[in-house]
Amino acid sequence: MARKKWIRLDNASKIFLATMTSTDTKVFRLSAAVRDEIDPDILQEALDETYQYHRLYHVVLRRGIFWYYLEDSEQRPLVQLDDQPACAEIYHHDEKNLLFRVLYYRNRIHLEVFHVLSDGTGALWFLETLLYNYTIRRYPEVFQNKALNYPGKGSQKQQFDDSFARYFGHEGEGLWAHPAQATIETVTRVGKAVGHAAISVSGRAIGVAGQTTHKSYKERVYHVRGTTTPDNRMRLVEADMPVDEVLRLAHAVGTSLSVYLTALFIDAVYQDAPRHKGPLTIAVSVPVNLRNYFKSNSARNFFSTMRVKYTYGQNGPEGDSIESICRSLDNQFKEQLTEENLKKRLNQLRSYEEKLLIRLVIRPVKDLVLRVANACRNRALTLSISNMGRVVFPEEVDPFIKQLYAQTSAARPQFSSICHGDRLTVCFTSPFVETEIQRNFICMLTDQGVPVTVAANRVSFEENFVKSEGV
Amino acid sequence: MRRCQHCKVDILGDWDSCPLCLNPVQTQGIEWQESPFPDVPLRFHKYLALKILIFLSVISVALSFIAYQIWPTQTRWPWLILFGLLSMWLIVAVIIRKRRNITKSIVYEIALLSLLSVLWDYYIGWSGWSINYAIPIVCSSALAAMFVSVRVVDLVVEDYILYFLMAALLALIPFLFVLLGWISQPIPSFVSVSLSIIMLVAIPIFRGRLIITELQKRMHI
Repeated sequence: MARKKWIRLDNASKIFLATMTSTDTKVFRLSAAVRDEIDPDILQEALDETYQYHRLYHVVLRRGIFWYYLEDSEQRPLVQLDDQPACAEIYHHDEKNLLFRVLYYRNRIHLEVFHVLSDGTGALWFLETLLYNYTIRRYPEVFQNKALNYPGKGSQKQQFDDSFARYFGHEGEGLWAHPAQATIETVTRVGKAVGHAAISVSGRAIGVAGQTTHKSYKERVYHVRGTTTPDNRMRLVEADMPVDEVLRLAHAVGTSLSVYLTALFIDAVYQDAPRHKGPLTIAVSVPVNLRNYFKSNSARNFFSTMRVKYTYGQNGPEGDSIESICRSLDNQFKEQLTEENLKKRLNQLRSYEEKLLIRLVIRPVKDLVLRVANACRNRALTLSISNMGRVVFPEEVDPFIKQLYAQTSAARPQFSSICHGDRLTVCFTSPFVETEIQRNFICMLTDQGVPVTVAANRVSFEENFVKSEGV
Repeated sequence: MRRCQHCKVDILGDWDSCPLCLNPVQTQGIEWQESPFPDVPLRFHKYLALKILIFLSVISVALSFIAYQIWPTQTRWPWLILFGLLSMWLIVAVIIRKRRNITKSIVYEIALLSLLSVLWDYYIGWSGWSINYAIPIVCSSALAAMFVSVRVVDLVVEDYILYFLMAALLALIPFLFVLLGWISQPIPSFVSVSLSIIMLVAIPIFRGRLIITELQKRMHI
């Protein structure tokens, strides 16, 4: 009998498991709008073919005494009609489900992935292969006599690479070299981390994770409040616009697209925030794709996050224009995004999980500590963003794909942007019913003449009610 | 496509008001385009049966205490009702929580039922029925139940083997009672211990390698 293979979780996955909730399911979704209505049978065929070569996606998540782990599974994934709220829970601790699902609705194919399995870049590779396999089967007449290039990245083994473990960790002598010293260090570090956590849960926000030194933030980080949706689903607002027009606006203030969008998001929140309590800081969490800095073909998580912020009312006579927000963000990006800084931070994160004493703590306690650490980190954040950049598919299939969308489950207002061809899509997800921030953001673009098409999901009794009355 | 004049955006879907600013949009004579999001009805958990049972439990405990105040008796029977219901709810809670993993659920039930029987035996005035009969019978029937369930439910060996081992180890506990001379009726204990020994010998011989890999997986540090 063949034994099931298993692998350890990577560094980033561990935090997702400890901090998932019924609202923030840690599931993200990549969608593609294609030319015609989806044919589910052909999509299933394409999925079967794709699944065969993405071995990483064959795993289920299991719980051990000390850590979670991923275990091989024999299940066959089935395509489903999209009839649940987006990014619905995928993992349940006593069910052995695959950690992704493929959905379809009208002309869209959705790939939903539990973040423990993979990050956006990894999932995009899967989606790319899926779309390729779907398109050549859906339009056989077009592809009949063409030589095709099957999309793929690296070797099968590289897909499974835990790049965190390969690049980062304790430098110099190994862990076992000075056990006594390692133990003392561990005790003091954990003590400090928990201490910080306790302080910031009861009092002001303090950034614990995300900083190489434990700097405390004295500034008042604003938190968006709102009405949560009745059944905890996310509010989705999707904005679709021509990328050139937005790029023109970004270049006019001398910055990149992703910094410009971040600045708009910050300002959209500020327009709606109470001003009477003095200077207000809005902090944003931004993911960094580490594959851009450290060579890796891993389909697993290989990213880090950084925190950028902007404090209003401290920019002198120049004021808080979008331009000055962009300039401030630009500087922060430049400062944090160096190989050396990333390395320093990730080495430290990795060194926690290398410590024997931490490893010997049972899993539920680890989860609890991570949850507390995460709660402190959240107190220092207002928003999250994620820019997946420009995606180009193999030239044969690219014309059949109209647009791409990215969404992710959110504990705070968030947007994910992705660009394909001449279209940019910005998808907002939020745990709150209100759409004021999204409106502010979109109106700043439409006021400058960018044509925007908006779609939103229905999340409350009133909206569902209005609908049924209207029919 | 519908359009909001305030936000200057085109809107997908048949919205009567703009989803962004909530102001009405013009619907007359304008074709609307399909929304990319399906209208998913709001969903809530409906545990009505559970709520009724909790309600009845709480009420019956409260009423029995009131009745006891009015017509006092020698035995403090309302307490028995309270503990009885608490025990029942504990057992039910474990079954519900572990319903997706039947062998794990059996191991939890062995431990819970054994503990509860000792507590009850102690509370009603120790006569030793818990260790003489209850625990050995729970252990042996649990082993039998496990043996049957892994065949009926068609489980994968890797997934249940460790729970099987744990149940077998628990079934060995009555042997301790015999050794310490705590019991007066050894037959049920001997049945439980014999079953346990059969399992404890069979599992390593037939599934030894598997046990080791399973332990490596679940205990990796």
